[in-house]
Amino acid sequence: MATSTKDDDDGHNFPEDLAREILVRLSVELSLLLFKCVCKSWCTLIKSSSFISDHFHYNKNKRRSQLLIVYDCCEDIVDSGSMTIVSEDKIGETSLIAKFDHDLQGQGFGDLSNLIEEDNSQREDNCSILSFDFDNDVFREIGGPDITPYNYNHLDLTSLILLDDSIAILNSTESVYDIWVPFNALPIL
Amino acid sequence: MASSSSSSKTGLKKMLTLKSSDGDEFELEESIVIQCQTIKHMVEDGFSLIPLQNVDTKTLTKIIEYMKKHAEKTESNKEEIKNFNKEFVKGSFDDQFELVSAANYLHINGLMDLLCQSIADRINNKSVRAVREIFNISNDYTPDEEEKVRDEHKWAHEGGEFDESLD
Repeated sequence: MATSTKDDDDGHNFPEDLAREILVRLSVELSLLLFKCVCKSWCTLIKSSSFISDHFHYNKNKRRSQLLIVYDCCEDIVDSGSMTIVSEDKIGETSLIAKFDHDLQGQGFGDLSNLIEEDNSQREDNCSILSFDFDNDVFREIGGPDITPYNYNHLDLTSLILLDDSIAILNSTESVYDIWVPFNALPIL
Repeated sequence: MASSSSSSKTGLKKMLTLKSSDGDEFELEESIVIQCQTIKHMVEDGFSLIPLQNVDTKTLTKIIEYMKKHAEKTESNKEEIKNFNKEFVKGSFDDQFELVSAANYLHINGLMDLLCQSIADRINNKSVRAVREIFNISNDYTPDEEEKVRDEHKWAHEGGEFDESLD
């Protein structure tokens, strides 16, 4: 029998290792969330923690906002400690930082919804999240996920987490965990 | 004729022969071919005739074109290489898939990266239907199952226009 790697049958299954090489280069919000619907094996691949991890590291240096999807396996990625601050105001007005708690570090999660609720004058659409650089005493605003026309407000977001050396926002709905990694945030040193 | 000088020059260089799955042979300088990790390892094992059962003549010709060009890479011709790369990825999806499959088998990292990035750029923002067509993947979901997966990130499906074209 002839050995051929392609077009062996009607299925013409696209090799998964090649699909992976291509998919890891796609943007999550433009493509990967849709392409889960292409077929079951792509869905399994895109949801797998090894793919999520590869995708994260591949795109880490691209300097654009990324969304990672994690399914019931977030403890694989979620490390400890978060040093991020919530404020209702724009960057610069650092005196109005609602709360910062050193104890967040090491706990794994800072519960964003609690921090927001403490300030009851807060409106959904003018929340912002700041990162703080301890070495330089600098705050920087972390933008929300950039997806139009979908309105993603910070009150939907449940937790701040530390993903490798980046701040990330974890949002869970039922079995789906979305992790937003805003790359304009200062890295945690 | 200038051939005497060039032949004496090539005489100093170690030559290798690549043989495609169609049986065609291509003689190339070792320095060009060792961009390809698979062949490099075979050369280290002492082979000088390299049979490539998974790569047909058409694909191998393109790959040799790539390796020759990239062997010329210097500090001063970056722009030229960039333009070459741009032309190189212009083929149909099927041609690109043949090439990427061969580049993967041969372990030519630069070519792999070039092709995968180009394919990714071309399918970003394509519709699910178009992607199935392009990759020749049949939909193995039942309508209910597909609806469920779609609902996980419904907003992503509602985010505007998707590209239905197949090229």
